[in-house]
Amino acid sequence: MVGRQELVGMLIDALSFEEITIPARLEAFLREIRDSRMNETTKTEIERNIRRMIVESTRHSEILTKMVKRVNKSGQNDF
Amino acid sequence: MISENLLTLIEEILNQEKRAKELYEKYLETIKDKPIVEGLTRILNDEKEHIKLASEVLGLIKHGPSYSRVRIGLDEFSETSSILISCGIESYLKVNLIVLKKLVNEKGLKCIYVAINKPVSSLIEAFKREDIQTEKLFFIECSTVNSGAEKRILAKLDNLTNLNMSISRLIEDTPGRKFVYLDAISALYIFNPANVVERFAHHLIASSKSKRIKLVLVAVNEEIDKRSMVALTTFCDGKIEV
Repeated sequence: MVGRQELVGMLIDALSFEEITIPARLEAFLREIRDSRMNETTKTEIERNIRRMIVESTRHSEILTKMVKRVNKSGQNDF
Repeated sequence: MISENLLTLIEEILNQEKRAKELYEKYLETIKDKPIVEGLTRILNDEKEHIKLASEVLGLIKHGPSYSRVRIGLDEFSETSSILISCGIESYLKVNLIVLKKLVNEKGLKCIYVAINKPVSSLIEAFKREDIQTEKLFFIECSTVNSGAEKRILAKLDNLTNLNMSISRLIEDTPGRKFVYLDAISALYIFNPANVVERFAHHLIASSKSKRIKLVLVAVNEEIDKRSMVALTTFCDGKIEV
């Protein structure tokens, strides 16, 4: 079990990772791929994987944000 | 030419995804609240997928289109099929790495590796550099020089009956899910007449089938003539051209 404040801290850490750190790297990588002289089929395949990762990271941010809101609103102390 | 920047970026992304997975696993050890656990488990499962996706991208950058061709080809065949991979000399090393990463690292199969073209000691070094799980590899060394590597059985290149027996013995002695990897069957044509190599291949394919074991044969195009390639192709269940 973890206390409310501790849990909020943990979720905020994960949120900054999912919302800032990971998408920034993925977007930078996507730009590099688009500018590269790589074979088009390979490029498309790489772009598909990276886009999926970006979409899912955004979804993770949404899930984590909802969790933070729920924890803050609830009267519960231990989670 | 691979861009160093691309490689650095994707390696960073892969490491971050691994760190994210570790973070959520750590959270799930202490948090007990059901809705939070469910949400974090869902994210954790995605992170595991992201590690696979980023590893695939790393493979595509390092090896180009042949990476997908070999991986898709390997997925299309069952665990009891025999597959011939034909490749040019320039992509031969890449093919070894792609097959081992897919079948050993990802699918968890043990590999009975028949090393014909290179000494086992140098193969192990190269595989370790690429993070192949070498503890799952069991070698039959056919090099003419003793490489001194541990964990291998020696066999002579011009005695294919003996080689077949060594493979059968190692299959029996290796428990669990496994496959036989022949690197590269085309080199046997240098030491033996074509009909002898083809008889050996035919017997090996039939015996792997009866033991319900996957068999992967690699043929380097420059080492083999067209007629022999056709013969090997007809014996196998499928062919992947790189």
